[in-house]
Amino acid sequence: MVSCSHFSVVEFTDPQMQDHQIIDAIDSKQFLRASSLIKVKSAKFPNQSYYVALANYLLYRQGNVKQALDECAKLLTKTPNDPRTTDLLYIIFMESDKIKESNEVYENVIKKFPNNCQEHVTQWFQNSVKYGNIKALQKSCFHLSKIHGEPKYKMWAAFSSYLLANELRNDEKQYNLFCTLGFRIIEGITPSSTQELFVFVKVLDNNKPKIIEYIESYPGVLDLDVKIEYLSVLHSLKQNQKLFDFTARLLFDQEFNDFDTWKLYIESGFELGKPFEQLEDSIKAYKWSRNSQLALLELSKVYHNLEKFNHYNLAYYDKFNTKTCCFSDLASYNVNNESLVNGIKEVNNNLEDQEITTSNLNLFVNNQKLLHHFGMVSESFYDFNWRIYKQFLPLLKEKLDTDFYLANELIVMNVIHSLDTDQSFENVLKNVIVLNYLVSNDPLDYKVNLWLIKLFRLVGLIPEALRIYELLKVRMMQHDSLGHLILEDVSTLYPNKSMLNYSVNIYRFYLTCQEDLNENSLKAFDNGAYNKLENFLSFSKRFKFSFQYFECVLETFKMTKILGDKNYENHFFNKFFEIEETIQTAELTDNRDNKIFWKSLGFKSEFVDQFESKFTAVKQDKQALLKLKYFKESLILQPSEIRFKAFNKLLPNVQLTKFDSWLMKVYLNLFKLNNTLNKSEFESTMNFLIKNLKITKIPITTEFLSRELNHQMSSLFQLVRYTSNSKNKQVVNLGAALSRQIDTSYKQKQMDALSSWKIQLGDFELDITKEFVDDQVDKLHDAFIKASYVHLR
Amino acid sequence: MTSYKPFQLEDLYDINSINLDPLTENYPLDFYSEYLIKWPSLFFKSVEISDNSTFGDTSEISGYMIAKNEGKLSKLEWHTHISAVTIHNQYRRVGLASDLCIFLENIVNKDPDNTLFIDLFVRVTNTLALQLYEKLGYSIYRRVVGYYGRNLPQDTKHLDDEIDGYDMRKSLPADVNDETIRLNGHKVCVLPQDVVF
Repeated sequence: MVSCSHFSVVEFTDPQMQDHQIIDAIDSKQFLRASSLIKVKSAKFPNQSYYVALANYLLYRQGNVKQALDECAKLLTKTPNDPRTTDLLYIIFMESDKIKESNEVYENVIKKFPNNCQEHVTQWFQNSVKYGNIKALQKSCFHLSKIHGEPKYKMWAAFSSYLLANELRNDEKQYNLFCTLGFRIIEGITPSSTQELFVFVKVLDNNKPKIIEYIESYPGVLDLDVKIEYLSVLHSLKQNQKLFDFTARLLFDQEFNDFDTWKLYIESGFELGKPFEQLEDSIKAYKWSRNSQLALLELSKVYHNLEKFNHYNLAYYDKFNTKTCCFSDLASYNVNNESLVNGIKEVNNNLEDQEITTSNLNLFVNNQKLLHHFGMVSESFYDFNWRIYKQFLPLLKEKLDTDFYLANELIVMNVIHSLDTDQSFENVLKNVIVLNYLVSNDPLDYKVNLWLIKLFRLVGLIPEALRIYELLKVRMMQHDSLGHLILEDVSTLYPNKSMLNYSVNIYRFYLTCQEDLNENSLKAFDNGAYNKLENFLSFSKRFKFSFQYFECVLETFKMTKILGDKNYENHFFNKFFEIEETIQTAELTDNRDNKIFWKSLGFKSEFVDQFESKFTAVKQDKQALLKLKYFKESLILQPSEIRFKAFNKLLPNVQLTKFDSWLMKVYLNLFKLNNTLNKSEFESTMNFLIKNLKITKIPITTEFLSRELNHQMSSLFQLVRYTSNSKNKQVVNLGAALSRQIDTSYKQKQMDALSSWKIQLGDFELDITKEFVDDQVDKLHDAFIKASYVHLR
Repeated sequence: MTSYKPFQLEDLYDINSINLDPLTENYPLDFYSEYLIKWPSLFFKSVEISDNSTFGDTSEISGYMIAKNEGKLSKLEWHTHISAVTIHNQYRRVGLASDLCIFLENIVNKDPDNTLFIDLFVRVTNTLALQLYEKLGYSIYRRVVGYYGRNLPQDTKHLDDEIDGYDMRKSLPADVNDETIRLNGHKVCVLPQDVVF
């Protein structure tokens, strides 16, 4: 999409402004208007390549890709040098994955006008950053350095050569070629800053001894990036003496108390044959710190000194068992010695005698997490967790709202254990109440709140999930990693006006960031922030192709349709089709953060996988599912053979629930009716629809208050709406009959289920009062009413 | 087991455990980008070797520091400003915030930064933070009336502990005569518009 301002005034006298109007008309799909404006301009300026390019851009945006590309190829042979033309050609070629042609747009101009191509080369550079085209970036930077000749542009050229080398890392010859090329460009320059030194380090990646030379001869102070690179190179080249001396200097002279440096100090000392005691003494003489204590543990491990390992393990535990970091520090060393376990058990025997302090609470939580990590878990383990929570309850009254209360983690562990053994609707709700009890005592604990969102989603209480998501103040970048907690399937789970507004806000965040990203990568070049550049480019790619963004567009667009929203529907209609090319061809990146639920609790990954699978009917490839859903929508709106083929190809490869499988097969057959079918094909398609578009054939859940039912009812509502617009009268009738059956069979049943709702949740731990439980049950009932399909419209 | 690493833009995907904490502010992408571009060495993180039994992660971000250099040397204002320093709740009370501050100090107290002082703002009611910074050698330079308020105040006499902040400073070796700090700074009241460099 060409970016331009949107104008409200109809006519302009300034020709440039009219050109913007054309682009604007194309991008907002006012193709007829754009076409007539182009015709007027072409007649007036028959020799201007820009209007030819605009006509091609129009064709391209209309979906006539092949014709547009053919016309662009013709135009390319004429080597147009109007920067507006080259810009459009580059966009069309790049977006069609015609990388070679896109580069030729500029290469031809440079060849033909070598002394007058500065503007084009700059544009090429900017476009290559925008599209993350590293090969073009390398070439354009190379030309920029030739035009300008200043060290800054040479650095750009060298660094982009490194970026290309890195991209071609699997091809050794190419990799070496571009590293060497990068170095040749800047060989004569003396690095004047650590950022420039960093460029040398990168282009010399295939010649590590030279990196050492450059770093050692740099007269200034090394920054953190270069220090890390230097340590890494010494380590990979096994230059142990230098590594030992340098790490010792960092640790002891510069007081750089960095654990990775400690590790390298110990490892190089070991490789040099230094005695254990020598290193032990040096660490002990260091100012006392958590890192230095752990360095003693690391030393014992590297020197395979089991006796000392156990000794320092216990010493660390004794000093840090009241600190919240204790568990993760020891867990990473996988320590499990008898003395430690005995010590823990002894402390645990005296729970009731302990003074109620945060330190003591932390001690017990650390102990429990360590026992869990060692696999020493039985039912009594979970009972003990409840007891610890209860014992230290008075602390909750003293603490500030923002203080971290570690006992909550033990109850989250118990909730997980409970759900692992019983996945029933009642048990999920029971655990919702337990978590709500924790929140009533400690409203700002994000982990407890996140688990509440997870459980609310399991039972379809999306409005409740949204309430907590808002309470957690999830903002900005967090939407990309956590947005799935409310947006996933939201168009069928909770198509509601407030939800629509929320998802539009998330969408706005994506738009703003996408605009900023290109600018920032260019600024990073301009400021010579080389040690950030590579990550800026990979971040851009990761963000641009974020699965969550595409799901946001799809779900928001579907909601605008379901709700008949006039404010946003048109915008999202355009956006929906704008992303089609990417959906079809790109590998999306999954930035969703599901680890957050489990961090610091110490569960093994096998357990997590097993746990999660208990709550999902089928293990789904979310990306393939998103694509399938996308093509279903696009076929509903604008049937085409290409879309049908894509949908048909995807369908057998996506794992679906029984209901969704039925739904997609029905859609497939409905879409077939848009194609030219022979008599027998038509008959078999109609037979399928007659047979399957019946309520008795639909695998609908019998849980009337469930996430599944809301999803299924919303999906059927959309299906019926689609059939009502069919040109085939029999299909219209089938849909209408189905609609009546849904109303009588399911809507009524869900209403009955809501009005007669009673739930037996059994006894609660933690002395949760009956009043609290009753109040929670009432609130859950209200939440089910709010979230239910029957109350959504 | 803390190590220090440069912060990278993609790290924004790995700081939910820190930024979901109610005490930590989430900024727009542009904010983080600007600091990375303009002051790349003053935006860094602390990482821990994590319990790798879950998800195979080898490290976890335990905190980060965002700082910048600004002000004119000729006006004795060339300094480092700490914009944010925050620690994961699992790694609090082990001196990590202090370590990040010291690490920053060790960067800017020499070339190429060589700033005169480091400053930061803290709520007047945040006793814990005040104590931490005092222990690190910071002192109150002035009270900024209404610094954390929604509206721009006009009167330095209208003190309000809930929204007032202290501008705390630590003089660095480049400030040879300690000209950038003062005694009894808590008695000097200014408005938020007076602390812009």
